[in-house]
Amino acid sequence: MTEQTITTTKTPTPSTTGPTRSVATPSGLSSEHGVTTIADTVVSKIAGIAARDVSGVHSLGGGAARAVGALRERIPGSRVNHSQGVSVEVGERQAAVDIELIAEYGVAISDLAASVRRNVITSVERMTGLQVTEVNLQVSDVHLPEEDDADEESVRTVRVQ
Amino acid sequence: MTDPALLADDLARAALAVPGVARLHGGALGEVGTYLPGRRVAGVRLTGDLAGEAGDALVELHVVVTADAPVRASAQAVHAAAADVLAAHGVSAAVRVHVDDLAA
Repeated sequence: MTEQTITTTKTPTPSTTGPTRSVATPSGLSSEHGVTTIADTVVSKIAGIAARDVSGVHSLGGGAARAVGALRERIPGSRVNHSQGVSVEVGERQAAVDIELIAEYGVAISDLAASVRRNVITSVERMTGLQVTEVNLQVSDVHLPEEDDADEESVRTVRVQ
Repeated sequence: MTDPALLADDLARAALAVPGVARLHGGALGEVGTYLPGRRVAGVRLTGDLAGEAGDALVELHVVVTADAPVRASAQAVHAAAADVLAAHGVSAAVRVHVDDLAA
């Protein structure tokens, strides 16, 4: 729509939500008594769950990651990989997040992206205390509702017979 | 910064409370809404910087008006209700009311 053209004011913001605007000020990760380090896995899990939680996100990951994930989930005893499609860079005080996702068909992708970005930033900043410098999103596909029904229907007919 | 979830809920409630508004409208594809963790507020679209620094904040309300209500007056009332909610939240944003349909 028209909101992209309106943003011709003072600061050139790269996207709808300025990623450098942080909600929480990072604190408590380093003091004179020691340093806290947070592993990449922690940040990518939090970011993955936060992104997947937003209404309108179908799933995370691109084609290859999803194919591997589907195989993984069939293995007995395996757990859901929450960091699928998420890659992060974590420093001492800051983190940057890249997410690849599949949107539901019919959502406004720019609005969805802004919501995912906001939810990821607040979740990571609140849980880890790291400042999130950027959240890059790649929407790799849109998911159509018929794509689910095709499999379900074939199962259903077998059951009835 | 105001919570978009609270703001969207309040805007939806205020719009629905206006006499003549039947429901909110999620758009032809269901694309109009506020995308929140776990749910979606259909018919309420928040764009731009709600903190008001960039001055590009925009609220869109998509409503369905009952067939016996005057469309213009109802839309005006929705606009006023939305302005009150925004003032209560301390958000300065432009408000656009779209009448998407008439409920028979």
